Amino acid sequence: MPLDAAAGGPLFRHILFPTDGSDISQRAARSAVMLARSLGARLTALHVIPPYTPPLPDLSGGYTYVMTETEYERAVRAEADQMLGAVTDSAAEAGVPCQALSVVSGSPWDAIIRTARERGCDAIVMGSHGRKGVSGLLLGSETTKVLTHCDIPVLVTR
Amino acid sequence: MKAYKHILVPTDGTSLSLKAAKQAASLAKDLKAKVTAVYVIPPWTPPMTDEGSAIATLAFTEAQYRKDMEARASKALDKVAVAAAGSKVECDTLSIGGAQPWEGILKAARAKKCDLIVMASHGRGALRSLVLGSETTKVLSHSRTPVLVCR
Repeated sequence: MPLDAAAGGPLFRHILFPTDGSDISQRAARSAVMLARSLGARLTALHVIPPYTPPLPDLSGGYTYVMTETEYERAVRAEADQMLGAVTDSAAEAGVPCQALSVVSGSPWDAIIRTARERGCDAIVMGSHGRKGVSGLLLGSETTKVLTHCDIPVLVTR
Repeated sequence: MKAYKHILVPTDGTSLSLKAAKQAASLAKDLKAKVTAVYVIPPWTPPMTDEGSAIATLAFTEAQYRKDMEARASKALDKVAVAAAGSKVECDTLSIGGAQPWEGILKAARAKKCDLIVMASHGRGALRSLVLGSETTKVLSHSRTPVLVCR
């Protein structure tokens, strides 16, 4: 539960910032860092990695490049490090303590909510949309699911 | 990027929206920001018969509707003003008529140049436990201003 104003502390002490590396996420990162800095809060940056999907048999008989699980892991970890590194760098510049983690899950919204709970976060800052962009939906699907199921405040930015 | 300086706090008079308003006041205090509370009065729609003609004799006229709604608005806005005063935060109040709540909220945010909207996840609707409130969803879908959804 967020702190009562009478209790004297800032409203949020530990903000969770999930990112998927999209442009909206990158802009949302600035909001997350700025808010944390203004409140003297710390950040946890999170990237949810989709699980490896084994390739389906190719019935056409043509040659298809197939990524092995090891190659997949290497590629997604490198990507995660890069996007999380960008957040921890901005946070460091702003003097905001920031931890980064990546988690494998087929359900980003669930991993986000679980992480917030496990880490004791009291708010989430996230983009309105992710990689699929704004053209398809009024509000991104994972953002919508986080909002529906979350019991801490969520700041949605564009 | 600058910190939020002017927070818009929509209220519909429900206890959930007051709870969000208290969090908004607390946040405004932490950020040294000011608050504008807004209550949106939806447009009057006369009851219609099946054939689409308005019922001629109405126990409840448009004027009575406005009067009743403005009284509710005052009451709801006062509660937000009290919460703001409790956090020593500057607060002004505004009621907007003739628009759906989500439209009125976004109109107020633009008119007052608010840089953050803080609102409850749900309003008066009955499906509280299942989904995100319909007006909150519409504000989120159409807002260019960031929205903090509180519960």
